[in-house]
Amino acid sequence: MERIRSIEQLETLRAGILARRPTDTRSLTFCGGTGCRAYGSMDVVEAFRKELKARGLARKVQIRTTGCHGFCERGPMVLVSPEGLFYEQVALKDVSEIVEKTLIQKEVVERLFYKDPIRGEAIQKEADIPFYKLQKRIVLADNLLIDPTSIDDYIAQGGYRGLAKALAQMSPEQIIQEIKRSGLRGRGGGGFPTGRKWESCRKAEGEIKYVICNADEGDPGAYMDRSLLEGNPHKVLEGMIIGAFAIGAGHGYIYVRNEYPLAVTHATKALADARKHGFLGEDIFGSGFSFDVKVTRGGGAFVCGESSALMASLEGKPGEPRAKYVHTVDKGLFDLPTNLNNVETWANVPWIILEGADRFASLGTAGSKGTKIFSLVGKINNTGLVEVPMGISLRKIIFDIGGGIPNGKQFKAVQTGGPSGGCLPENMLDLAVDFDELTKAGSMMGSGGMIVMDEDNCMVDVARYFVTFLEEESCGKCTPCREGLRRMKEILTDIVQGRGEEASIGRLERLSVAMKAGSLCELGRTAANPVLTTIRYFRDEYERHIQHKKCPSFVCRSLIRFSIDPKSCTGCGACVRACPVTCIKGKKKGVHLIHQARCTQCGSCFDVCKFSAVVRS
Amino acid sequence: MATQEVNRILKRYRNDATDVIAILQDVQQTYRYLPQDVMSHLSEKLKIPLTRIYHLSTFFRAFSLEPRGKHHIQVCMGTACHVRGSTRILDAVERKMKISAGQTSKDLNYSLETVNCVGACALGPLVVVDGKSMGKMTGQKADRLVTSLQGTEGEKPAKAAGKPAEPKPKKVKPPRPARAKPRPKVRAGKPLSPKRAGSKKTAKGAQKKARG
Repeated sequence: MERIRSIEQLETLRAGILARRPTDTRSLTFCGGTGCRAYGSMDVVEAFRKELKARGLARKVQIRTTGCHGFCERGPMVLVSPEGLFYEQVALKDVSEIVEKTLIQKEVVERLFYKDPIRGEAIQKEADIPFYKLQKRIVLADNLLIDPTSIDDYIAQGGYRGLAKALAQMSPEQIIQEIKRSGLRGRGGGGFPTGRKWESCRKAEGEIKYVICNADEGDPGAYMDRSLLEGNPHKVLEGMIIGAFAIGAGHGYIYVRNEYPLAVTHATKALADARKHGFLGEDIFGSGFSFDVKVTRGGGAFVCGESSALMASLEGKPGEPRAKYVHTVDKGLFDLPTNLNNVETWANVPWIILEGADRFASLGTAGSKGTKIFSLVGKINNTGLVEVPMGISLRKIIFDIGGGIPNGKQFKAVQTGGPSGGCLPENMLDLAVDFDELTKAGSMMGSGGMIVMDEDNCMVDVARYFVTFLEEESCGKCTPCREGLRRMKEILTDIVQGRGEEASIGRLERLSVAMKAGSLCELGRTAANPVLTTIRYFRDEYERHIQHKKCPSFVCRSLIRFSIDPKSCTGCGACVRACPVTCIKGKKKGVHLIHQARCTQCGSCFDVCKFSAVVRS
Repeated sequence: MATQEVNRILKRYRNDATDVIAILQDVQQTYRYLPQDVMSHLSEKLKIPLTRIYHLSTFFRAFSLEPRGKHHIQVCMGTACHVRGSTRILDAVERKMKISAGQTSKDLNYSLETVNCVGACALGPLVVVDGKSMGKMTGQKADRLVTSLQGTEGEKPAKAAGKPAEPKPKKVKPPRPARAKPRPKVRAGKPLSPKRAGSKKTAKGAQKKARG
């Protein structure tokens, strides 16, 4: 492969790729993201290949496996081009029908269309589905179009044009100015202005500088970074190369979570391909600028998402944060100036350079520009990745794009910002989602996790869940975080087990103040957010647990009791078979009884009873 | 201990001490734990104190100081899975396997672990067996999954019930055994009872019977 040395060469290469692509063939696009793979999408792809081959269509129909489309709820999915048909939840048995009807007879398979849950009508095309229609995708858009293992696909979509423009037509200072003007803020959690960070790192003294891509996405329930790195690694890489040029860095690292094997594979492949094309290595685009990147796997510690801890771990040390009196842009990795940005931040860069800062700044609110990807999960109809302009309301995200709460349940809360964020109640649904508004509400943007909870979720239990998570993940270096979280967990455990005291809430609040004031890193400082917001917005639930020893959502096991209503019990025996501790007794077709002393309150009987005879109290 | 294998790993990283975490990850993958003599060997070769290697090996979740099972069962405890009831799934798996999270079955066939989000939230609650995700779990489905796993072990490793997921050829191969002699296996088809797993005599007898 010849190294690309100019914009003209890149355009020639692109034209060549496009010319080689047959224009008259049809194509099938499959989502190959981790979620869809778990549904078995790769088997469906294989089945299509076989079916097409058997019918002699292998050359006439192109098959492409892309990264995550974001509509994880309805996978595995198939997109038929050029018609733009969208088939959802395609099973192996549907393969021959799709080939026969759609590819040969040019008809549609109605039953596999997405059905609008509100109006009930079938929607044929992907673009018309509200989930996609209401989004504004600038970062995720290419995920649907390119095979992440093919650099040609990326170049065909206009990839590396931003890099070519930056290196050939702009000076490092101009790039930094452009990023500053765009108003881009760090997507990893802190929301620090990216342009200012780059500028400080550029100005920092030192010959050797580093850039790092933080893909140690530890927030449970958030997977936008994984989907980006997995589905479009070249975009992230292009952003990194532009950033490195602006900063003057010669080396880069992509620090990926160990739990994301596919992201590691795709990123590694992307690096190798980029090197072959001359986008990495010596003298990139003939500009004299040299840069290379290495992929490193994390060891599975949540705290390594914090910049100084991540850098310690890159140096081969335990991932413990340090106090940041001296910023990492001055003394970071190996005590040298280091610029760290999150995956999504890097992925925004090529678009800004290519389309201009003004276009980017026209999206969003006064303080938060551009779009943000949220991972909408939990008790929601359309689980998936949602890219929307900043400033959109929570209600729009959850009800219009997310399709509301499943099974007709009532919305209770939405948790944003991962373990350091907070839970927001129903009356805050009209809040405009941006960095500042969420912080004002006691939560935070974080990396963009959005976990929806319904009436069946207990907020005290949720608070305890986050505190337990953080207590386990606290690195233990500073006392307020280590001991504060442990004590908080004890108090919350007491509350959910019916030993809560009147003073418990006050103690939790006082502990939060100490942790916020005394912790070393942002992890400890924000650790109390889930507890504080649940107390602020759901104080009555805490009080019910403490004063009445009751869990209104029937989650906290020590506070609930299962029994069988003799009037409704038909003696079918389903509960007997489901009970893991064999504590239900009764004759066939007779009324059954739960042995209370042996019952572990697991709820299996409640789930299986078709006659609502098992009651919770 | 096979230092040859360790040296091969070291060579891959050019004995670079900054890559110690990656080296430990490869050692962990090879032996399914970090044997003490390997840690000493690494300390010598990489010229970093043994205390630091020990610190790393206890700091990161990816490492274990005791052998992990041949099969890896992970129950996702991410927030999305939690609000959909993953605690109950973990309970069901623990009860059925008779070990708690973080433990390995006595026959070294299974390790049970919790994981903080694998990022397949649409399928929650989720159980991952040797890299294959089994989604939309219920207590009963989890029960059946463990039963089928225990049923297949001894004949065909890594064959699990439920929906298949990511094809990961590397992981499907049973990892290199940690010891020269394979541990006695529980007879196929029978669920693991504490009595059987606990008593070596019974287990050995069972194996003999199965072979003979």
